[in-house]
Amino acid sequence: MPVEVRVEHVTKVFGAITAVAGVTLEIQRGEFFTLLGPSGSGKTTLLRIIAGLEGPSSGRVFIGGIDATDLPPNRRPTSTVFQDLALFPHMSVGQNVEYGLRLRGVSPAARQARAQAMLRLTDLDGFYDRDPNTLSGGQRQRVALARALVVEPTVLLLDEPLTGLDEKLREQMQEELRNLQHKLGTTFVAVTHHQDGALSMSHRIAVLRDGHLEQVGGPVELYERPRTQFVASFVGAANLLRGTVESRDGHAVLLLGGEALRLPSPPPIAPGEPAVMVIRPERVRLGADSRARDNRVPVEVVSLVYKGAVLEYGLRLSQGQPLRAQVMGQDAGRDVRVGTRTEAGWDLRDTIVLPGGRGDGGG
Amino acid sequence: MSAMIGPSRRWLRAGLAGYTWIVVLFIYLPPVYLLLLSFNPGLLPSVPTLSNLSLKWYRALLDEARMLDALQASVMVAVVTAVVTTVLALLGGLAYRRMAANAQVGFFVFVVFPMFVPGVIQGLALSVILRVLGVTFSGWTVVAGHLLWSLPVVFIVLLTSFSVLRGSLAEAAQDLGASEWRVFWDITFPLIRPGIISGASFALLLSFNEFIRAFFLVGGQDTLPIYMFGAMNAGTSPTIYSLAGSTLLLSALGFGLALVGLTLLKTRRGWAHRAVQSS
Repeated sequence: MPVEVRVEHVTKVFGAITAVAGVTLEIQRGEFFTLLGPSGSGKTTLLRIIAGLEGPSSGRVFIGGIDATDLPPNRRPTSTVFQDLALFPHMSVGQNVEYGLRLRGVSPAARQARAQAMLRLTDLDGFYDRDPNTLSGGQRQRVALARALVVEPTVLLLDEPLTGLDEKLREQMQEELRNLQHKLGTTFVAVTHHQDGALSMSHRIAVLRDGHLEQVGGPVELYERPRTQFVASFVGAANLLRGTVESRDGHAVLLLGGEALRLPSPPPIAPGEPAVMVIRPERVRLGADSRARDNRVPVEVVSLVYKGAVLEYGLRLSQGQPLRAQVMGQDAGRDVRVGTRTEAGWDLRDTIVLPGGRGDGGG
Repeated sequence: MSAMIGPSRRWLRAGLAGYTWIVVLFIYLPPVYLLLLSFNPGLLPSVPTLSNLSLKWYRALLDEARMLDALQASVMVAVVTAVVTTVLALLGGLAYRRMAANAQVGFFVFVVFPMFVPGVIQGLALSVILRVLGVTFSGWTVVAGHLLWSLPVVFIVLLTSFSVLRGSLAEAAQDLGASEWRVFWDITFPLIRPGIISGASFALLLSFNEFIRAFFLVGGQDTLPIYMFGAMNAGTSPTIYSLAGSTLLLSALGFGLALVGLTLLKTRRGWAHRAVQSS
């Protein structure tokens, strides 16, 4: 697939703060691409640079193969759904949606027809004459979507489209965005800090941290094969067990406290080096289920939280390291109780081993 | 709490109510007294009797050519002041929005400071400078003085109205393809229009009422406040009461019309909504 957006060595400095630090990435045509990161990671600044609302301090931005770095936002083939939606309060829903077409000189009859069609597509049939100030949050969001999409942008930019919606609505919006993107085939670039939303909506995700690109990949790749501690712990929940790699009887093990945990072979980290073992909570087995796993350690059950579909156990290893485990339904309930000791186990194929060193996710 | 609603609290409420009424009377009684006087055919300001009302002084008013000239001059000065002040304040406000925070503080003080300079000083200073420059005094010099007086007020009123331009409205319009000029016409201007209208009204009233600056800057033609001051000193002509009366009545009429217009506008919008929702 051809490249729709290419960001080349883009850096953005605000006074003493570097919001984006030398990011290079390519977004494919027709892709749902998400910029994911905590607040202050530079994701919104990067989106605004693609929209042209912010100029990069250095670097170039190409859209559809054309250098758009110096084009103002009104001359770019991009449309933005702003985080605050920015619906024009003095215009009806119809006038809001038609505004971009009016600027393009589309005749009144044609633009009304196109606006009505877009309102139908965003499930807002019959809202044409309504006052946007009287709509619910979800409806306002869809008006903003219709207004941005009706001008047929080659790239739709979404700034935190899931923020400000309650959980039910957020899931609905994720699905709606995915469907809409699928139907239209337009390239979507979304910014979010909701990692679950990013995983379920996107074809590919770029994880940002402190203005740097940590990793770009599909949802499965980011979840199953994070390349840094930061990605491992930001995308989904993760247990990070820190230790040192040692060689024992010809096998590489991770020493932490009194435990020697088996590492996959060949070991990704040289003996003597610090390393982090990443295990997802739902891959940790407890009690009888921990038998015959590649790694098995004695643990103390510290807490138990009932979360409906899953039970979440807070555990402690012999040297006090915390470990979280998630168990579906009531399976582990019988022999695993708070205050008792049991065993936790997991398989090597559910394990990621990353270079150690505390906090420097870059590894 | 309910136990505390005793006699002391009741007295407090009665006291506050009484105080409020005294203030209201203090503000409204003198003009009403003036209004009654203006309908009194008698010549001396005394307690007017309601049984003897006449439009005599209002008819006489129409024959006072000098007064009518002064009124015309005042209206012209007020209109020009309102237009020029509002345009300047709007440009200043738009510039202010684009400034860095520390520049904003300096600019704000620069624009608003004249509000705290006494009118006598302002009028005197401006008249001295204009004389040095060899400017002929006229309605325009009065406008210059009134500009100093009304600009800070209109600027502040406009800045307040800019709060509706919050968030990314302008960016959204630009993102949809609007040039800066279109953003202003389609988004900024319609949204701050109420502020522009109230700012211009303020400027109109401030200029129409202003005496001291005009007194220093006026040319051959007096403005209405200066004429009235002169007329008072030259021995009271009863037409001055009918002049005050008609000004008062016109203001009340204008205010009433504005109120009715606003109410109509609101209900019409309400109807439009209901019509849409029921269809």
